[in-house]
Amino acid sequence: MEKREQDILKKIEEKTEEIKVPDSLMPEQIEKLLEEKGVQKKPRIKKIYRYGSLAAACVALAAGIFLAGQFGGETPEDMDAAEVKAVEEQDTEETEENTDTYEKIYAYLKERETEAEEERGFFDTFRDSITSGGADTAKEAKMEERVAEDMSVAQSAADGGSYSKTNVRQQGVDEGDIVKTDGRYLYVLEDGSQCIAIVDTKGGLKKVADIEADENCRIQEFYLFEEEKKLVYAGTVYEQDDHWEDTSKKGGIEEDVLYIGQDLLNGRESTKAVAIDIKNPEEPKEVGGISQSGSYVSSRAAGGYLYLFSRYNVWGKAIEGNPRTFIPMAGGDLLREKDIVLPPFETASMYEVITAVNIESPSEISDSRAIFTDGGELYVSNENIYCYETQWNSGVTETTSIRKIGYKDGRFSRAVKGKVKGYINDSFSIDEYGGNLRVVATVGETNSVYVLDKKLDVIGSIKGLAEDERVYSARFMGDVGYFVTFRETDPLFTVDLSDPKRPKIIGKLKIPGFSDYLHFYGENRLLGIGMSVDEDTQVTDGVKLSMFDLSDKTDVKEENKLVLKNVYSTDVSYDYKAALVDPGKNLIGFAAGTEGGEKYFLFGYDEKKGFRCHLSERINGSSPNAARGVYIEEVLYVARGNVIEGYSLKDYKKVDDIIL
Amino acid sequence: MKCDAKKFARMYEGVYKDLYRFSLYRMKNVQDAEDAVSEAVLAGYEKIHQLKREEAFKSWIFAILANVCRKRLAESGGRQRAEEALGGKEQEPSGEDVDYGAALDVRNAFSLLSAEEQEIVALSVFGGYNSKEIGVKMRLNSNTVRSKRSRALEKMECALK
Repeated sequence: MEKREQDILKKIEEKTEEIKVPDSLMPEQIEKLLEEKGVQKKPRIKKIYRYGSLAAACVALAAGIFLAGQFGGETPEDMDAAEVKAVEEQDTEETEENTDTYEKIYAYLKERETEAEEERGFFDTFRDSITSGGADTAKEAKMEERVAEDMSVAQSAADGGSYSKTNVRQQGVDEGDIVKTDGRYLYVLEDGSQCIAIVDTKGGLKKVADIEADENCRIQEFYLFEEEKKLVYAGTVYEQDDHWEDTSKKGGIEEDVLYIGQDLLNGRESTKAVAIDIKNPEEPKEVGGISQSGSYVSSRAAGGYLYLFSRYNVWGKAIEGNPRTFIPMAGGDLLREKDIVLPPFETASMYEVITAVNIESPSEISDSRAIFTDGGELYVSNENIYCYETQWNSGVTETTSIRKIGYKDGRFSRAVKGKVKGYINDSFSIDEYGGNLRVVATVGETNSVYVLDKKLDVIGSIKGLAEDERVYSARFMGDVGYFVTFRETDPLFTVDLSDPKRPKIIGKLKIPGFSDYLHFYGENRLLGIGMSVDEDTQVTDGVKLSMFDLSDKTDVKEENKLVLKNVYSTDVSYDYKAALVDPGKNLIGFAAGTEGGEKYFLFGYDEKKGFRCHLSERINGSSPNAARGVYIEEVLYVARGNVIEGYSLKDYKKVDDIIL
Repeated sequence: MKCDAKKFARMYEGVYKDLYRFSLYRMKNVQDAEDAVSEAVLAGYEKIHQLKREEAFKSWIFAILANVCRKRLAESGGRQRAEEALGGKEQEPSGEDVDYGAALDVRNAFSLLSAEEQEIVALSVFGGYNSKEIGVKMRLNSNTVRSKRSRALEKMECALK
């Protein structure tokens, strides 16, 4: 944790030190209370009692005990044994199966709730023996094309380069954001998340229209589909649904103390995507939309389709024979049995609901899936959706399960499942190329590189890298991967993946500090954004920019670096969309926290002169939403909440501003 | 673990201030905070035989308290949140005579956070958990916890000046 964060925590600690605890909670009172209880110590609720003797099987207990295991070194042996077993079974069982009836799902959910027997056999994996089908040569050709695309994107500005686009994980797969531009208008999510302002930049900033969501909807992110002349926003809707309360009264909320899943609060939420016609941005018109169960998680857009992800928790709500109480809805219909995939781990209690919507007919869902999950992360390649989640075992190494669902033109294919040891830092540490999946994972105290084939079987690996360090960032291009691990210094590893079965480390560069975001910057350069770390005290002492020279893959060099003292952190460290990186225009921009408040920084790069800071301007907007920088032609616009400020990219002077 | 009321109270003594502070900043008023701690203590006492080692008591009882708070907030908050979403104003914490003292600005700082952020920060400060432990507890990726915590603390910073 950064020093600044530690300071704030310390301050909270100090300021609350004197709070007086009510008499009834003083230890002596509690002792009395317990003694009284002890007399009539019979279980109030049957269910708890029953669980009590089945520590190993119980999910919610798992939450408690697990925790104990992780935190205190407590090792409930029974549970470990069960879990190790579960992992082992996953190795051998190759069942390919989706659910076939709602009853089966109901049974599964009930089992989660009652969890009477610990090894009921729901460790089924749902592996589709996806036949590779189709000419490999064609694939390879396509692959090369893609690398070429990646390269060209890295080398020049995206798509013509007269205005910026959201920084995305995967070229060719668009992502929603809170600020976008089409080259003339700015679209900015306003404070309160209920309105998207449309601002004309021509002849000075001028707000021309507002897109308003329904009162009970909070907009999370939006897209611009420029060809279709549509804006699509995704939002979370807070429903007035009394169901949860009903069941809680009836179903013994009392007894759920130890069994609460993560997302009870999300139980009454749904997610919607709404399409707005912006042929004339001054007169936006709503033209359709869809909704689905659960709170908004993420989304992607590719090939004229929007793919929408939400998370739906049914915990404690299921009523037998009434699928509406436990099956997610998409577009007003229940998901079909066959489109629901059972979980990778025994503990999964939520659905990840995935739908596809054609932007041309935004009120229809072209396909949908729901997979049981414990809450994981997403990576979307040009052909597949990967949902990965880590099971934190106490006493044993954590395991990450990866599920892959193919997508094309708004249709999904069946799920394939695999797993690797360790946990994955972020979506840049998992990367598909030529049908294979490459993963960099931190395994206990070391790190590994894996290559998985299209069935998600591990076909190649390197283990035991960088002991006592963990992965901070990674980036792949074609056959080569780069990743940074860190404890005291920052080794940048270069891994050659040209033979997927025999990946090998070909380079290792040690420098102080670490990069937690990597971005290719023109030919043979890799930009690292991260933190400088004082080698003596191990305290971060400023944001650091590094430029790596990749021309010799076996001998990568830090060509230039810049440490911004008194700059504590950047949003880029955990949100790549906060980065504006455009090698074609030679721009590196991001918001960062400094002693003088939040500022927007803009840099250029020169091989000889290194990083040049063009601009460091205070951000005047304040909002729970993060700041974004976008450019149109020769003007940089910095937007946060309801304030947009414009700066010339010629002399970096402020040229305009507007309060929405 | 074999444990009578006396032993439980002794272990409790080592953590009760943290438990109460956690509960207070999650529940936002004295009465609810008190009730939540009582409930957690009773639930914990009932299950104490599952705890194998005394050293794990703190994290164990915190896990239970965190769940109790979340459950209680879900119970009371569902309706309130729906109303809020419909444009209503957030309910002021009922006129409790809380002696926040120097801690008032902490309360204000907490009020800037989402429920999830509050839980992350409260677990960090009062529970003393690191991001990985919180991740396990809240079923979030530890990086997600770090970034959420970082953003939450940033929001709180101004209010704590």
